[in-house]
Amino acid sequence: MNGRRFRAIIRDQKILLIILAIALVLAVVRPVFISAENLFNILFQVSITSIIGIGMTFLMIGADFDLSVGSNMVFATTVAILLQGSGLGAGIAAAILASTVAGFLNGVFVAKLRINSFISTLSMMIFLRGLVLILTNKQTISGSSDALFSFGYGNLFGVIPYPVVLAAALLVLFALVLARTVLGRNLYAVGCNEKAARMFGIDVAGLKIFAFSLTGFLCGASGIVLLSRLNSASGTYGIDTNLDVISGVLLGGISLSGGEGSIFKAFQGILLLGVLSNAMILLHVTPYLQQVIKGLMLMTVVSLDSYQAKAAAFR
Amino acid sequence: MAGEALLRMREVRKTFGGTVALSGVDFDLNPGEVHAIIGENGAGKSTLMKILCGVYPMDGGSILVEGEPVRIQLPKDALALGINMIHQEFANFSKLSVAENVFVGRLPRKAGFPLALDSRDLLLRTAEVLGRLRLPIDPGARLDSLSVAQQQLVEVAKALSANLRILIMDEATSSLNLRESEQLFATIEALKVEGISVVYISHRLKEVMDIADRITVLRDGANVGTFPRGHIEEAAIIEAMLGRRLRAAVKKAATRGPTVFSVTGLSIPGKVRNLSFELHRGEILGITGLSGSGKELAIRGLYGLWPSRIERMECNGEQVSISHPSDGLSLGITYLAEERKNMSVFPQLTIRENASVLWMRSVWRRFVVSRRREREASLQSLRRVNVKMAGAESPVDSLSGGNQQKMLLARLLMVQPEIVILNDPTRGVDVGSKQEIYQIIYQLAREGVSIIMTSSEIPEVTALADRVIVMSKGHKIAELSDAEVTTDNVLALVTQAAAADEHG
Amino acid sequence: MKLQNLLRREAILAVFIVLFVICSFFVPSFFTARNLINILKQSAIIGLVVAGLTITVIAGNVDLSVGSVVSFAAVIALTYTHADLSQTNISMTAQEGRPLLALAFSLPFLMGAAVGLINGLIISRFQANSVIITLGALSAVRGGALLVAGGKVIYGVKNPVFAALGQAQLFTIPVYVFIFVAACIVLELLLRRTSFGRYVYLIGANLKAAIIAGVPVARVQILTFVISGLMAAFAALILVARLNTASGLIGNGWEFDAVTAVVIGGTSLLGGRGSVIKSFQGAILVTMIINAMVLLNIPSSYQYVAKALIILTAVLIDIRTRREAA
Repeated sequence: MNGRRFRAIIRDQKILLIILAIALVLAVVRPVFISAENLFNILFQVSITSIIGIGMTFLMIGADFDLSVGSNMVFATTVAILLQGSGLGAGIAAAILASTVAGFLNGVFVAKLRINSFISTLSMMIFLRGLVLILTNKQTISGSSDALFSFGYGNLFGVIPYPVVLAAALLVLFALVLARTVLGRNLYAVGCNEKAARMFGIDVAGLKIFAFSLTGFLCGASGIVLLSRLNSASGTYGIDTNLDVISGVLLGGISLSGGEGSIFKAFQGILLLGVLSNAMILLHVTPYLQQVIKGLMLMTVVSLDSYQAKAAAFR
Repeated sequence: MAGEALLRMREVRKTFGGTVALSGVDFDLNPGEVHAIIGENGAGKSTLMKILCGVYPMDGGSILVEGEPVRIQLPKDALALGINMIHQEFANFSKLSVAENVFVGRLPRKAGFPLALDSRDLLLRTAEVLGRLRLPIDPGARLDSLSVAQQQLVEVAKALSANLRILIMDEATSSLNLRESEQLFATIEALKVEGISVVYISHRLKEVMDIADRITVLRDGANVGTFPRGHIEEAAIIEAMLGRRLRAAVKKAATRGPTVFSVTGLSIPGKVRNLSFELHRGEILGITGLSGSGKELAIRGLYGLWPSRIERMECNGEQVSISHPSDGLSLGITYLAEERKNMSVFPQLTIRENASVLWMRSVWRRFVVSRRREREASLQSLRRVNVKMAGAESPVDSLSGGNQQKMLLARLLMVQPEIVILNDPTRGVDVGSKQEIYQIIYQLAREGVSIIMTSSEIPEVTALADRVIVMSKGHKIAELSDAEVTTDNVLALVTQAAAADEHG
Repeated sequence: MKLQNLLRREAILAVFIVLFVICSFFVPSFFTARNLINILKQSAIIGLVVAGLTITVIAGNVDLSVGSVVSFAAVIALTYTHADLSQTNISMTAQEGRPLLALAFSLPFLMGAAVGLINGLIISRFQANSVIITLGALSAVRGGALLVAGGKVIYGVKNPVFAALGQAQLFTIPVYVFIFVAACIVLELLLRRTSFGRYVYLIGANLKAAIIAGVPVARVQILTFVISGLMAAFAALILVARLNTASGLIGNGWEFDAVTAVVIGGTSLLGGRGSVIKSFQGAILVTMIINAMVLLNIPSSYQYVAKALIILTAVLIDIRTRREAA
């Protein structure tokens, strides 16, 4: 009886266990890993991807995905810098609005015009990248704002970086939306069986547009968080973000086939990825090799996901 | 008098492309009545009900509910009128809980919060509905943790949880065993008590005679009669369905050829136990039983389409194994899958390209395909099974269902197989094409091809086969040959087996 | 009625002709021999990638790793024609300093085939989502290219064989343009006239039915990815022969350009439909539009935007016509 429960814990919490194992090893090999500074650094890195990861989780539960999140994030950063002349608040609001509109358009393409999400969001990715290049005139642009810096580098109670607080708040809020609201549960139904969901009167198109718009909104928010630390934008930023977010969410066990998963699980996956990235840096793995490893990891994770889906659906 | 009927459908017409599916059908339903619709595949049963549910628009006719004309154009129109259908496959959410399935699209909200889900209320109300049907199912369980039968009963609960007045069940028992069917019938009785009317579509005559208050028979898209229970004999219904008196198939005296193929100890965990049989040259071997008996899985396992364990398989005296369809093809064994659209037809391609699929294998080693030879070989095979088409270069979607099925037979025959496995060869085929397909199967056997077949309709197997293996619960319970092969004998055997199971 | 059918079937060709005529009249120096050859030259190299990718797409998958295969192959090729290996991370002992032409020609193909093999193995074995799998491969291979190139731009030395591949001309048209056309014809014949080609369509049209019909699904799927990898490597060879330089970032975004050309050509991303010749038309059409934009002095940043709009329009038109047809 006890053994069974133990096995169940291992099965359900395997990501957390892996994170703990990696952390233990690193703590021994590279003691700097467990310094507060490094741990909060990990959490900061993870906060950007997990804010976007919330949107990606909504999409994947509804059996869609979005390849334009990286470009959309940089798009928000760019808009915020360019519009800061008209006030910080206005710049931020305009940036988040712009990203939300981009996400909304993705939703319209997928849900209303029935273009598959791969083509829609790939086009949006290219489109936004072009737009950023046009807006920045192919330069790296920068803009400073003390208020934003004090957010990016400030700490709540002097310990927890504000971006981490923001990410945590958003994670909790949208975890509740997904698990405890009619809207969230309907999204699961859509991902599980779109045709049937439509038949039972669920507004499938509306939900999909909502999920894409939410993803756009969150890309905007993370673009602002990025700006609060980096203070600059260019067309070359954010290229790896797609990979990190999709890998992380998949790693957390959110299936590409939809209908399953939770924000909490997705966050675990993203955290694991963050810890791994940090570990690679501490172990002096070159950035190029990191890219290779991340790519291979995504391939492995999707293989496992598909293998399980195939085993479950063998008919 | 006229005010009594809950539902009246009048002169309902529907055509698909050029095919008439319904030619002016009338159908009435009284409150609290179980009204069965029976008919062969393609008779129009499902089309009529899909019109009532707003899945298809009708081309002509009228629908009256309590005497008032209504317009049903979308599924939600039907739902608003309290008309609900239990769909066979695509309507449930396997990864969600029972409660979420029951209240899908109508999840209860908490007062005060705009979108908050009231999960306590959800569970309570689900438990209440399940209680009304006396179903011992946990509302919080994931749907895919239940048996198929329980999932189907959840569908009934789902319908009942809305303002249900008319429940349509389409082949509801097709994947249930006898005891599960009994539970479903008990549930239907519970619905009747609540004054809910049930339309029951089935081709299982026996159960229809047991539970229906009235029986309507459809044939070729027309209503050929509505009969109150107890006023009609089974044979009369069959006659109405088929439009002729059933001829007792003449069994030829068996001069059995040599054994060409044998299987010893075919097992699929939990589904088929230790099935063995031999197949003779030029013989039609039927494998039959009720749904869930394992007959279809056995055939799939045999051909490497379901994980199975086989102790020994021999083809022409040599030990062989089939772990993938291509192994079967190499042995000269071809296979017709049970689902035409999902498992057999390649949409977007031409008839020729569809027909030559297996033939391609024979030229795979030569790599370059001769267009001329492909066309000749396809045409020859397509003509042999009499596919009616504008030309072999037309898209395959231009063929009617029956002609597509014949085209699929042409595909199998194009490689001159020694053994042909037919899994439900007449599913979704009109009556005319059915007869043609039977003729093709007879002709093949006469030419020395050995055939293994199964069917969702037991009479079809007994009419065609020289020898029949009867299965129940994954076991072979009997083997009948020649004159013993009758529908009555098979039914008696499976009923006995089920009864024995009940008590033992 | 017949014209309508013809238009539906040859929609891209019609669009191409209309745009061609418009550009010829309104875009300065568009309709000159030099510029037209230029369009051909520009479409030829990415066209090789497009041709290979088309086969993968007809089989119902997509290969996003082609862009980074181009860069990895280019870097490898240049590394081995190279005299000065000190620029790179590859250390050669025995033959250091000597151009290793055979390796320069064969290693890129081997690498392209290997990447395709891995993609194909994973996707066919697990029936995994090819978008995500090849997105992972895209990242991994790009990282590999950057590793080998050491993150720098590397330059080649003058090598007669390579130079010939990039510079030789026939009737004032570069030889590689003819190579491109020949490759398209060969691949089209492979699709139309061989059992392999038919299997590609069958798998794309209905995977389940193909499995039941005994089609060697895994082998064919793997082969389609190997072909797209090989074609990307081929394109890379011609690219470095022309430019004589390479870096880990060359070929960046080609996967999108290639998918655009394939989709505009009318090959359905759902599989089972399309042809190399149509993708060929798609590749030239996209190149022509970009070319006209360059001649009109529209900044290159706008090309991204234009490409995105072109692909969305193409897909929308495709959906619309198919709905009408149905």
